[in-house]
Amino acid sequence: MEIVSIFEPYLYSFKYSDEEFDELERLFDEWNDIEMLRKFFEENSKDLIYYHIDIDDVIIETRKEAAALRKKFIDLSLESSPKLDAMFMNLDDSELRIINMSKQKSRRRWLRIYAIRIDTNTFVITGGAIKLTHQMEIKKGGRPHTEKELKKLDICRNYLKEHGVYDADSFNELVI
Amino acid sequence: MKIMKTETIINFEKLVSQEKSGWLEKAKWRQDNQAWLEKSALIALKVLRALSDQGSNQRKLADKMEVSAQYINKIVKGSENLSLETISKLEMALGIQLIEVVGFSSFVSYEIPESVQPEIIVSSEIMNILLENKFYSGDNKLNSGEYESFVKAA
Repeated sequence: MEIVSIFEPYLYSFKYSDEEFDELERLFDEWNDIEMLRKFFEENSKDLIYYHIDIDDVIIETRKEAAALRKKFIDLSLESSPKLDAMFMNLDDSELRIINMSKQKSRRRWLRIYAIRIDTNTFVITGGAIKLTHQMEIKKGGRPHTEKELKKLDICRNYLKEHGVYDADSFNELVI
Repeated sequence: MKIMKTETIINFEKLVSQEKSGWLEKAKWRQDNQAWLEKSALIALKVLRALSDQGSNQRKLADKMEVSAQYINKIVKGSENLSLETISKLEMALGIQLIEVVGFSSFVSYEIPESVQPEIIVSSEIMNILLENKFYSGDNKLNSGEYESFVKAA
């Protein structure tokens, strides 16, 4: 695995050896792929019950959300000092971060991008998911694809630590 | 603390590949082409739904349109810049309307081709009603003519 820059020196992404693209590029390709989205939502249709939305509408909403997220990142890439910290909030385990597009807590927001904070406004993306369940771990009601993202976060964190990328401030500070 | 941070950043930068992500370029392209990409995505959605409703698949559609299965697969991903000719071929092959010009209704009639018409499996109770009312000709499957007669009568 390697790390590629999205826009230096602020946003980076992991690129895994078994993937053609880095994680951010892969995620946005998937979130724009109608066939893939349809397959995903058909396989996870039970989780859509809580959202009161059918498969066609959830695909359209997903694309809209992906477009909004894309615009946000493009706009940030044009800023001289992008405030990436404002886009992220902590995951429950207090070490990992999750992107947070919507402060208004819309019920129809399920796209997630997971990242590790390296320094102030500096992040490296480890993956992402369409998260329809409250929890990520299977034993807590999550789904295999969300649990996989937790594992990826763990692998990436260990990889960074092994290479001396460890900062107490980065991993323990919770307040955004 | 500051020294630690610097070391962290230095160590991190050592890990960053020379290769850059293609995300930003692709994202800008998607943003610049959003208007037609949105239409392409909606067409893909409708094509996939029609294939599912008709019990058909991409391979059958490709054969019907005399194009490659790979091309149909590109279409259903929703990022293909489709020509009006291709859209019309899709409409004829699927027997559905995909687009229309606002303010004008199409004079082309779209009929679901016989080969992709859905089979309607009927329960024995319904079959008895159909037989009694002579809407139904034989096996336990209803063709579209028989179904229409039944619906009209109902």
